[in-house]
Amino acid sequence: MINWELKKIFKCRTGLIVLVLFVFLSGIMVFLNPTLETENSYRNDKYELIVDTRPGNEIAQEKFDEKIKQIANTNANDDFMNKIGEISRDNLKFMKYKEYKEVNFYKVINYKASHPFMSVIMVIILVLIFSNIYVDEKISGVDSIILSSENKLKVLYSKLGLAIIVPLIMYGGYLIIEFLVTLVKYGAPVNGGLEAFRIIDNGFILLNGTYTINEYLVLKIITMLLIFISISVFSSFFSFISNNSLASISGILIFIGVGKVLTLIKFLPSLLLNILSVGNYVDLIFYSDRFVGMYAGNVNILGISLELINLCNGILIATLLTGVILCIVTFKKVLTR
Amino acid sequence: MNKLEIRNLTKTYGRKKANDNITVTLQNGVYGLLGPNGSGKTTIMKQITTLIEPTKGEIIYNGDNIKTLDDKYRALIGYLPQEFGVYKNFSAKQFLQYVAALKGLSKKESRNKIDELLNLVGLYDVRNKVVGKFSGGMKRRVGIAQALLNDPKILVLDEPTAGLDPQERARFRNLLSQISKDKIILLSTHIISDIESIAKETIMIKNGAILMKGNHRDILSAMEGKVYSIKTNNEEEAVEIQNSYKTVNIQRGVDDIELRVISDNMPPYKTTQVVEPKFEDVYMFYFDLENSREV
Repeated sequence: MINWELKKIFKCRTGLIVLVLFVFLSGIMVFLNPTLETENSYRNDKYELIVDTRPGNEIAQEKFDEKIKQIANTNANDDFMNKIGEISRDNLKFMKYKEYKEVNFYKVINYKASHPFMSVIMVIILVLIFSNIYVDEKISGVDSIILSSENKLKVLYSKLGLAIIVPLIMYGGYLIIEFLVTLVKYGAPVNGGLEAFRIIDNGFILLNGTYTINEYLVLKIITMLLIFISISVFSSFFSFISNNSLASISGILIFIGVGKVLTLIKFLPSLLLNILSVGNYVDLIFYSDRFVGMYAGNVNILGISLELINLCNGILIATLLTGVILCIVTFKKVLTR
Repeated sequence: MNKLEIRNLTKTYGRKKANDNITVTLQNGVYGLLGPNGSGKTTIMKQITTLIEPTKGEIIYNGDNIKTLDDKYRALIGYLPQEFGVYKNFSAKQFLQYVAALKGLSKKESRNKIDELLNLVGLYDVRNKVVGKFSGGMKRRVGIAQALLNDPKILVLDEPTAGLDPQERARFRNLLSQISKDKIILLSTHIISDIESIAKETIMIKNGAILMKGNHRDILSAMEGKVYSIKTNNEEEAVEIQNSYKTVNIQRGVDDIELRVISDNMPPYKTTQVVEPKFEDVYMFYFDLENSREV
């Protein structure tokens, strides 16, 4: 039935729009690249672009030394900085090489794996597909044929299955395209076993552990997938319970935005505000670099001290599972009333 | 032999009872479901096709509750909903292939069946054209074909002939008569002649409950001696008759006006004649509905 579901998507206008968006995204992202460790350019007071013309390795070594300096100078003046200091010391202790090593490939892939432009387009694609995945059946009037058929549950579970598979394929496909382009431009990936801070420009000091580049990238890709899959599962859920596209799209937009909006309500409990300020979908989509693998302090729940980012990761997984359960309950209890 | 027992079926939406304690047993043959809009016909059909669950009561198929049978029961159903829709970007053949997949037919099984049904509903020549460009009647024929795909034991048809021309309707009625030997066919329509010509029994629904059930003879016999024909050439008298009696039909001839009326007592006009009751009279008597004139 999954093949039929895909056929339905790509036979209508939404499918064409999605393909165009995906090609557009992959194309644009080929040209969006970060400033490499071996490059340095800035604008002066007169807004003139100044490009550092020194050899790449010299620039990279200077940047690397600066990072090491920042890590070494981490001052422990509270619990938060204590933890950061501890990680920094570990980072320095377990460093294999004390000098710059070529990490251009990883830096570019890391940049592209969570670029806000990519995330926004990906979310648009997923919302377009899954907000209509069941609403279209209702609008076309085929829903009653489906619900009275022998394979009714197969169809519904296929739709839910697609909500999990399509983000995997879309994001996976995007990463493969960018991987190949980066491979051609910057050569094969090397030194993936070195420290993750080498490919992070800002906030590397807040890394919550001595991640290697490979570990950090895997963590990032899993986090992005969790974000995308949970959005597509909830889009499907809103599609199952809505009667028209507008209601369905409104539902998922509210779902995405509600966390961010609630952070503005200052009288909410500080624990909730802390969780929402780190784990709301808007910030996850736009600033996932501030979330993945980072340390953002601890929170106390029932006397247990939990790391905020870990807690938010747990909530993200729980959100996804809740979405899946809500869809299944809808299949069994709501669609047949 | 198929046996579908509907026992004390009640469906409520808030305070409104869409179906009220419906009990009926259906066996092979065509059953007509007759009633005005909003009388609860579609709600009964939706419960039989498992689209909605009854608030009270149960539906038993050959001794088993359909809720327990679940997929096995749905495998036996063919359903044409009132608001039947199609994927407008699919061709007729593709749409039927999709429905065949929904009904668990293998590719091989469905290939032959689809061609056979497309021929049967007269759409074989346009099988590769997108359904979005089909007329209402053609879409309805696609609907009839999809309902028959799995050779259902229970065929539920909600307004199947709406939008069909007289020739198509006749062909469809013949088809139903042919296949009804080993199937339960439940047919809901406003077109009384459809029910009159093919239904073994008619179930009349009013306000969610069964008003009357039986074969044509039983139903018509209840109207025996209550249907009259009155001829007049006086326009004022015609208006007076119309105002005094439940008038089923007014036929204006060259010289006179013939009125068909229903009354418990014989109207006191010279030209009054008792006539044989027709199904339309029954409908008008119980429902007094304007759209019953579409015959």
